[in-house]
Amino acid sequence: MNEVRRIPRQELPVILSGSRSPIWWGMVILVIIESTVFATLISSYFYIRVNSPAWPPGGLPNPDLLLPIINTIVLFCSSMAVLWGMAGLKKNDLRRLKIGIGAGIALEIIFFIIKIMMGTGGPFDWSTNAYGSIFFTINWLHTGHVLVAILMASVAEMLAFRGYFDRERKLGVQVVNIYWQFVAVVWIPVFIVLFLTPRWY
Amino acid sequence: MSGPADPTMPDAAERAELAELDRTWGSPPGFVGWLSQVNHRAIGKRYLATGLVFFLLAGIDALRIRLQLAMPENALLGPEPYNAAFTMHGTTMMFLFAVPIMEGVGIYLVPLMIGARDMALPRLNALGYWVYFIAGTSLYIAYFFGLAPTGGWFSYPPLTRAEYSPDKGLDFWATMITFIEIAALVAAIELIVTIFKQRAPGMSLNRMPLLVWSVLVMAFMIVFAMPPLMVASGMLALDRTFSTQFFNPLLGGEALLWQHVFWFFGHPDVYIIMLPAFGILSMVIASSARRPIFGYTAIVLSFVAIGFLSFGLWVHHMFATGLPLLGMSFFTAASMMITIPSGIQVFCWIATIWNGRVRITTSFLFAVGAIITFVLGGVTGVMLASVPFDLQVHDTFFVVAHFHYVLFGGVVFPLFAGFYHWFPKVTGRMLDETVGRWNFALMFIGFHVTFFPQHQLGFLGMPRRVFTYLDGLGWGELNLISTIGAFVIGVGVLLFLANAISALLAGRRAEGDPWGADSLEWATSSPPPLYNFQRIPNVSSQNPLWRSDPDETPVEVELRSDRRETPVTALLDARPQGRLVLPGPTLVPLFTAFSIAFVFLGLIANPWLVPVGALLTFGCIAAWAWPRDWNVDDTGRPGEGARS
Repeated sequence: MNEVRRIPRQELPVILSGSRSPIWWGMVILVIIESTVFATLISSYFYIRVNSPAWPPGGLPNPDLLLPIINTIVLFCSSMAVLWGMAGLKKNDLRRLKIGIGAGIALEIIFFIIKIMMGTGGPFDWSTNAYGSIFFTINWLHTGHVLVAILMASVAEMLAFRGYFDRERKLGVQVVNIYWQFVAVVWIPVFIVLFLTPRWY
Repeated sequence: MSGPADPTMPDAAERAELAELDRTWGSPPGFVGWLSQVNHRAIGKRYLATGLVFFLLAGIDALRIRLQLAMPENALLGPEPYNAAFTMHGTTMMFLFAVPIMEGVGIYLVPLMIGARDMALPRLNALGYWVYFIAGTSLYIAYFFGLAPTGGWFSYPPLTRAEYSPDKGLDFWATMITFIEIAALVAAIELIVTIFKQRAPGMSLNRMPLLVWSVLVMAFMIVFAMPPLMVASGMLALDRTFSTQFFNPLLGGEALLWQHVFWFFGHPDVYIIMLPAFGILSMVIASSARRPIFGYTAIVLSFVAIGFLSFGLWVHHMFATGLPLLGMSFFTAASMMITIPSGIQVFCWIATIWNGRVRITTSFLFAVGAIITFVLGGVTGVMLASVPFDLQVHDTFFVVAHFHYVLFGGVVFPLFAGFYHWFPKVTGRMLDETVGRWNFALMFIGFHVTFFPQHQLGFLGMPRRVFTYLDGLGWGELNLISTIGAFVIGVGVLLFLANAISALLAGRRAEGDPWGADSLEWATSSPPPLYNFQRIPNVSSQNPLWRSDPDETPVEVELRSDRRETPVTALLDARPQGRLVLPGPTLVPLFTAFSIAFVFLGLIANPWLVPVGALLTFGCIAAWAWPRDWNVDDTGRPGEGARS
């Protein structure tokens, strides 16, 4: 039997980030769960669609494109802003982090307001028919995710203003960033399916 | 850093360290303190106990069903109470017993088996339990007030849409099922993260105990199977309370959409609850046979293969819905294919027993009973995978018999094997073996007396879910036999309860390792101390308590005892990477669970509760996420401690 090798606690950091941290993995799995939710809803969309004689059914017009396209750009910018702020953290630049997250939050609030404007107008709602139900469920579920991302990032921003984060202590912003990027990326299939595919065929 | 091994510590220092660990890992006294506990074993025990209570409640419903069917044209239960009884029996067994109790097994045993002091996110664990508790009790409170769901445990629309089931019972069902899946998902995240990052030094993936492997695969299956269920039951709840049209064929909705999404969850769910049971069987059989499990790698690969294949079987629940032929052929093939990994496991277990020095304990008997019953259920499963046969017996008692064989063989008997195996570890007391044998005999014989005749009843054409049948069809005798069998199972379960209670009151004290088993949970005392292990064990083989590799240098990580710390290790090879500082007791998870419950109850009662609940939830989560201690670092990082 060999001697026991004792690892002193100075060699065992408690400030963990990235894939070393269990909490980082927790957020990754949450994102997988959320992706499964969206995948199920999008599959349901196509299931209802292939069994429908016309799409959109009941003589409804195709959904408007202008506001969703603006929103796509807004969301892309917010995603870039947060990434830019995160990159600042690598250089211990806390000011850049605060600006990045702040800009990201502001842009997502714009996204949210545009969503509200889109959601209240229009010739149908989610009780009109199954198309309306699946359209608005996916749409509003994504908007709910935007809201959660805004709230999460606000907590991170408050911590940043108190000087909590630095080059090593960054797990909090890392997990917010994962969620943030997920909300931005999942918008792409949502946008394509809800707004573009009815025009394509 | 290869200093000399720790010299034997003076007794006084050792005692002081243990006392400090006890303080650190303890919870405040009293009821509020009890509510605030977050330790994984406290939560695990609550899952197990609550799951058992629901098992008994569902068992009572089962007996009521069997009494009603004992003779033709019986008027004991009318059609409505009968519908409520079978709906609640199925719902409880699947959602409130089987899934949560398997999570409870994982939450209790996994950290002990991998040599950790607690799980990665202890407060999330507590949240999961409270969600489960609130959802389960609300469903039962509604049931006792006469608001029972009556649509069967899979609630097919259009029957379950508001036009045809206007009562509030189904609203409770749809919202509470959506709600309770939060608990399952939370437990899955917990278990995956803990297994990935908190294994004792040296426990590389290929040295993990089989139960841990099975729990890992189960958790991944939950990640992919439960979200579709939440979507389906969420759609149903929206259809019922917010007049969406997902399942309304008149306005473009699809009743079959429900069946697809529900069974996309429902079939994997069967394996979600069976995989940990297979893990239990592997552990029990290896320790009873007193040899390492035969075919460790083959069993692990079977777990993974079952996990994947189970997502390709769901349509075999829908053979009678008129799907295209190609689809049906595909799902027939897939359904038959899953017997291959299942068969591999059975052969590995048999080989282990064959080559072992078997000690026949009650848990071993339950394990053998499980294998026999499960194989019989598997055989009828292969029969049902063929479309022409399925069409013949669809929705008859043959199907009822089939899935009870699978679920008793694949869940209930393994679970009882596990109860007898780990009861000493959990409580520090031994269950009585003589009573145990009676317990096994009654449950095993009772089970086969109950369900074997139901195959025949199915062939004779007796449909499931019909509250009575006419005299003169020749079904009376077989039904009476079946009912007698059900009561024999009931006596067996009561015997188990009596055994457990008398063991708790006056049972023989258990040593740390009463079975001479091989995995780490037996390396600590029975019951384990609050912190599980004073020193984190070191692992250099698949059976750490039986053998260790002399060529590997054992590693000991230094942990503080004045706060909750557990080691973090690398995902593949479990090299120490750091320490995880865990939070202590708190009421926040309880408040969060109630806030989320507000959101869901709002869906039933009053939509204005939804935003209120959502705001409360966010407040709780913000309080939760706020860092408690800004100066956790003690490794002498430059600049640390300058801020506050």
